Amino acid sequence: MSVLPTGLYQPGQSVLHRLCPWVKVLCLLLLLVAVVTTSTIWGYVLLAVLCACLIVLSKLQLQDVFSSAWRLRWFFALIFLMNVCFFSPDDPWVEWWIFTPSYAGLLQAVHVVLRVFLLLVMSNLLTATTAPLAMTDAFHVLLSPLKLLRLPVGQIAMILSVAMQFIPTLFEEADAIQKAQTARGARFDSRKLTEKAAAVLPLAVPIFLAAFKRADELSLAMEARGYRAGSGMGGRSQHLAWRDGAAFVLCAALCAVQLFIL
Amino acid sequence: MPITLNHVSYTYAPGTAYATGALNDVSLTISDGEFVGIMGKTGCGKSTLIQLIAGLLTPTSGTVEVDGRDINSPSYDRSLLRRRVGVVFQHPEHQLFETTVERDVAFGLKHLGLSKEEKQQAVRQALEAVGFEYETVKNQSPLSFSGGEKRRFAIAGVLAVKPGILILDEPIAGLDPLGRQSFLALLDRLHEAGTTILMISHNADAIAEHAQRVVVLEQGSLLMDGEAGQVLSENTFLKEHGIGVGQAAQIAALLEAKGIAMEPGTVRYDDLLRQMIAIGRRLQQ
Amino acid sequence: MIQAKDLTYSYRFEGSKYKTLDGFTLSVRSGEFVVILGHNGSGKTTFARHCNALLPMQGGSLTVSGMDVGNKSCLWDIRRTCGMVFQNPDNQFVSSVVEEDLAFGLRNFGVPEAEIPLRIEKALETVGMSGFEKRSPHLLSGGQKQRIAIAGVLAVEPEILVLDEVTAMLDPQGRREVLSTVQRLHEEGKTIVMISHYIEEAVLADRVVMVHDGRVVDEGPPAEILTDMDVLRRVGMLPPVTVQAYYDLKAAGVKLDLCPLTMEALVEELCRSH
Repeated sequence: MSVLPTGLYQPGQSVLHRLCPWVKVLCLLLLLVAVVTTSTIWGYVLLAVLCACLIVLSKLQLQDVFSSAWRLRWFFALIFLMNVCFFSPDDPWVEWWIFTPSYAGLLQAVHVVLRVFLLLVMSNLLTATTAPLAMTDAFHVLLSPLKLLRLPVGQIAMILSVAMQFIPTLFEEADAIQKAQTARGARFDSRKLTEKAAAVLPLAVPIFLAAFKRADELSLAMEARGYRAGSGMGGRSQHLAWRDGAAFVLCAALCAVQLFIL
Repeated sequence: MPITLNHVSYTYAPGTAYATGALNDVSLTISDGEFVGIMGKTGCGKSTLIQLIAGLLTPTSGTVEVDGRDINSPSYDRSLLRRRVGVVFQHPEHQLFETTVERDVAFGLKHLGLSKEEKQQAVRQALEAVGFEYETVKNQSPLSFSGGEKRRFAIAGVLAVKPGILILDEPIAGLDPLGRQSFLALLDRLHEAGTTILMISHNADAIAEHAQRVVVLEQGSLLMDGEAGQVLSENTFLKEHGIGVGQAAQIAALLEAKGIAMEPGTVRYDDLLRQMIAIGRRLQQ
Repeated sequence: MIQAKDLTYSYRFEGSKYKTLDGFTLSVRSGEFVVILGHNGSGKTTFARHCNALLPMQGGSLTVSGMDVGNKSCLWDIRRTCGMVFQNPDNQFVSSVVEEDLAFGLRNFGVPEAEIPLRIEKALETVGMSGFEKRSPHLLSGGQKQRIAIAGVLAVEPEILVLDEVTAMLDPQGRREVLSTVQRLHEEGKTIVMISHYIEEAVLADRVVMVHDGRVVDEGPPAEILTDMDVLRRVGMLPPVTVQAYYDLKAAGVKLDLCPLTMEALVEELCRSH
């Protein structure tokens, strides 16, 4: 119960919520390109301002947007330190064992952390403002070129979105099974490598079995509710509004600015 | 005193959507050989309570003592607790994983330093306690059995360690009537043999018939704690708090409403029947 | 509505064959509320799944609302006519938003997009869950989850509702909620087939069907079936407490005029047993 994946959908009526889902995913992709290619101060400022505007527009609680970043704070600290210490062997401040902290490393560390942070916030904005089945539709539209390769696009999209649904439940289940096995004397906190390895089986087997059982029951329920693989969900038309076009143009422009000007 | 909780509180990580199930300043003492039923609405903290006793959660404040020793003190040897306290979780059949019944039941014995013969003996006894013939099932895969049978294997795995304290979370949910009956009979046998039993259940009838003492939780605090008859006959109070009421207690209350005096604490079927026979005979004369 | 004749079904597991249905014959009339009782493994769930064409037919015949379940071309009409709700409330939702989940079935059956919000609103109202459109089913109580699952099926407006042990995983409060919803649907004229192993739930039915070893052992009104100790013993069920009390009182020389099915009736009978 202690692990809850972040970025769960928060119902709302903001502009961001009402954007067409596949346009939103496309915009996110454009922004991700922009983030990855940014290398100047102004680039970051621009993106940070954009993020701030989007958060205001989305009318989400700050907590919803930033909680996952906060949870990953140690990861951020780690990549920061690694970049500082290992990035550049030239011109270090001090040299000690394998560590070579340098100014170039510090600069790189700031870059990397800022990028990952921005990526995380933007992805959170998408998942928090897009309902799961709307996401399925988005995948469906965006993957539709793959239909030419005879790939079952509708099914892939459905699998992706249903799988996301089940993550919280599986976490809970894993937690329950871990507790049950601990009570039976399994040692998950042991320092001995052999015991650690031996502890994997009592966890992995029941979790897999439970996941299969769930998947089996869910597929039955979906079938009973009229889901037919390969059709059905794909038939939903998605009307585009002016705001969808505007959002796309804005993101594309931003991406272009990052790529060619800054 | 095998189990003592001193002002125990537990809060789940703030900010998560699952903020329910917390405990708030609970003090409780359970003596050797008691059979305690634990009731309360979903999310009232009963599961948290038993996980604290089993040492699977650490209290935010307060202490949990088993056999007079604080189980969360750094000097306490946890393996002692694992031998002393057996826990049967909801749907224990989900925890099976070994290739044979024998290996699965013996899983908890691994770190106890027993000889091969002692282990085999423990597994045999545990399987027989839950109604299986050791020789017939020992080499079969536990996963090839039906749901009810799997549950009995899982319980055998807990019993193999011969825990003095047995904690069960909704052990009869999903069993059919005969399965329920034979499982509760097993608990009675263990109780008679001296095992302390703590059982969470929504089934007020099962608790009324088998537990001596009942603890009711509400929103993380103790709502009631007392002798089973005394607690479970408070029909109106229990209903107001959304707790299930046993059938015998309901019938007793209906009879009282008709102006017939019933013995206080009539919550078991046998007690009810004895009085109904007396009422019937009196009226027939 | 449902006509099953000599249904047989067996599955293979690790080389051996297990028969779950063995000459299962049953007919359900329109508007009827039928409870099917039996212990775990008696074949009741297998039958329920057949009603929805979720299993391939192996032997015998089954028609749902006049449509042959063995006929593949009727498949979608059968599933539309006969809605099914399952035991585990957690394994039925495809979305983490109630209204989106309800829309799932509607879209699958090609209900026009404009009509969907109205259907959702109506279905939620029927199960007493109006106002939960934007909530996440995973964060609701067990009883609420099952009512949402029922609403998801009701939105499609099926004629028959098959409920497969829908109360088995609920607490007493959740069971009460779901049972009163089911009763209300019955009063509104839906045909209901409810699978259960709680004998107390069968008291509500128009007709009780006892299943054992893959076939119907006995059927009739609750007052007849649930008071028949021989049948109950044969199928491995325990009688309702009131019936048990009737026989125990009789054995002790206290004879009641009729065998009561409700606690109120038992007390009533006992008080005028002179």
